[in-house]
Amino acid sequence: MSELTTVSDYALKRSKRAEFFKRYGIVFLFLSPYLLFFALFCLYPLFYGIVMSLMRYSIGNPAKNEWRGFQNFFTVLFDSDSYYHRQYWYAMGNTVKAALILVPLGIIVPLIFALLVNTKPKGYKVFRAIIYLPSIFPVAASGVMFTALFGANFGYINQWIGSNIDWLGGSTSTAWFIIILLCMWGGWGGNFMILSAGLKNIDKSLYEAAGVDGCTGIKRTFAVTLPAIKYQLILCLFTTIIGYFGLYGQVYVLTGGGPRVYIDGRPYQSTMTIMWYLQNLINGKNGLDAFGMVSAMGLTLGVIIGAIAGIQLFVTRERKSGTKLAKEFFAHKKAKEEAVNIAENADRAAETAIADADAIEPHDDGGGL
Amino acid sequence: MTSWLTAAIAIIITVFALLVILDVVVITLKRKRAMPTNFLGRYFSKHLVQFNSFIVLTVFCIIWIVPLLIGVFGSLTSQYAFTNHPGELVPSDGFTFDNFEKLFTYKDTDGSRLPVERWILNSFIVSISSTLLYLIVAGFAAYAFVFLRFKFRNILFMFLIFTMVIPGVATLTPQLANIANLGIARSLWALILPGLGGVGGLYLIRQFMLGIPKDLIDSAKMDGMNNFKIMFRIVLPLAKSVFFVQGLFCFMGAWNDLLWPQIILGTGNKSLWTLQVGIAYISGDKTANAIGISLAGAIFSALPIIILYIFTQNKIIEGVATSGVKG
Repeated sequence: MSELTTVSDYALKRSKRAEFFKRYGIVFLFLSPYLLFFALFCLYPLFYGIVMSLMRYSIGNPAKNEWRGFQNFFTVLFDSDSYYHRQYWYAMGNTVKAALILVPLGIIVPLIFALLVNTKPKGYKVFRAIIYLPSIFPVAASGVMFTALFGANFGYINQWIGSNIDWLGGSTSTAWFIIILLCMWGGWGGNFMILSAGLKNIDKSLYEAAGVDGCTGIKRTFAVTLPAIKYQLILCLFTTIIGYFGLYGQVYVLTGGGPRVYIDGRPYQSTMTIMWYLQNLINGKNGLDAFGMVSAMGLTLGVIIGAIAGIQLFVTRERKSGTKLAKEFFAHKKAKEEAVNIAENADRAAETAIADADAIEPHDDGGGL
Repeated sequence: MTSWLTAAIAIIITVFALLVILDVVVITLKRKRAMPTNFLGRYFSKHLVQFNSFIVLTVFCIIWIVPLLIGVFGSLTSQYAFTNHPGELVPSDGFTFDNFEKLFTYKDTDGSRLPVERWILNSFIVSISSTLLYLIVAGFAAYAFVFLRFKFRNILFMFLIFTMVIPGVATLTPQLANIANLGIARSLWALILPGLGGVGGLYLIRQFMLGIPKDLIDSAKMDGMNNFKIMFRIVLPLAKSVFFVQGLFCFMGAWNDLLWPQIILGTGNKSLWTLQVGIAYISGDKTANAIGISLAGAIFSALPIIILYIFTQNKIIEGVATSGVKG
């Protein structure tokens, strides 16, 4: 820094414009790279997607692009004669059915194991690490391991139990069973971690207070522990629902859409999920022409997921974690005790007043006044 | 059913039966106040719940790592053993590294060799560069949102948070067209750049920076430090743990990603694929020939993640637990 300051320098420094550039120049420098990428890869695609969904859009042949109005949305939502409509809602049905099985499993099982680990048996850190390990695995890798386990001819499971079941390609139910198994194996570690952290942070004195009131064991779990991790449970519930709407990798690696079934004489890929279907449309033969349709499908699905996420934001806007509940409880308890103290002091004061009527003025310690 | 599997199931059932008997005995003795006062008696009267958890978790964890054992042992099993003695966890002709060698000479259906070493290189390039770039870009942005004062700062941030509700699938195709229009569709930039606009990591870093006392920054400004110096000399050392955790998330996310590379890179030019896309492709071949090779590929593709996990598991677990982001 130069120590010499001329009058003109000083005036320049004080001038508003210089001030503005000095302050906003650095803001611009720090913020603009991020905002550039955000606008280019998050904001722009969103608006562009809305435009695309109103068009017949072809990435391979732009000359064929034309406006279709809400035709794409109409086809996806209402036109039951259309191939796109049937496939989309079949895939949606599959996804929702899978979510209905996976979401309760993906919360209750991690919760049970989080409760077990939270009792802190010997080596609980090792258990925790092992339980979380599959969740960081690339889904392609864990899919290959499950293929080796459940393969038809040379799979380990078939050899071990001496059966000859084509788990992945034979029937819809076994294929879904394996997909769900893989989702469980590689999927609930995150929920387990979040619930464990929630359990760890519960105020110990809350348990002691419950113990004094004679509330122990299973009863304590339901009356004290679960309400205390309410926030974590809600977080897990919503992230799990949203996560399973994006179910893709497991299906791709294990069944590739899976055994073909015929409904009303029309072929369907029985394990296709919504994401698998969209990917298949994009990478498919005439996918390059179906971009408008795929955009409309993506936006329709996006509205559904966005609504679920919106409900989550609304529900969790007030964070009632374990510590907060504990604080509330102890504030309540303290207030009650103080009330009792005041009453007792008043009684005692009255008694002393009667006993030593002529003696010293009764000493009122005021009990928290 | 093989004999050892029957034995394993029998052992598990016996263990649980013994556990139940033990529980019943201890609880009845406690009720009657007749617990023996020796070491065992004292241990069980105090730690019965822990003992139960320990047994259940031990059994569960052993079952839990079976697919992993299959992966490791299967990748070391020769093709001969797979065809002639399938189902052996420890192959009768011993372990071999053949599959790892064959992975690099694996022939595609049209007879050309698959460029596995390019896939590995691509995966490393994409993961490392997207991690570093995101940390730089989001780190500066988070600094601006926390320590610089400007108009509409909070409104802008609220807007960013709000866009997190919009799921990626809604912008899947337009993103693809966008990348194609930018002319980077057939290069690795298509995998690196789109992630840089992500809000989640920015949110995580900002939350951490909010905990750094403002007085510290003010006094540094008083000492004549400019914002770059404050960023590198004060904020970065204080917030290095959150940068580390976010970096791990970025790296693992980029390394494990399957859907986006598959869509953007297509099936045309295999030398642009990442390792995950390639492994998923090889695993499509479900014959006995390919089982060992795709298992070798799977172990290979999971290796960097496993090594990272072994050395940083406490940080990762902490990060997941506090941020609610699932790795």
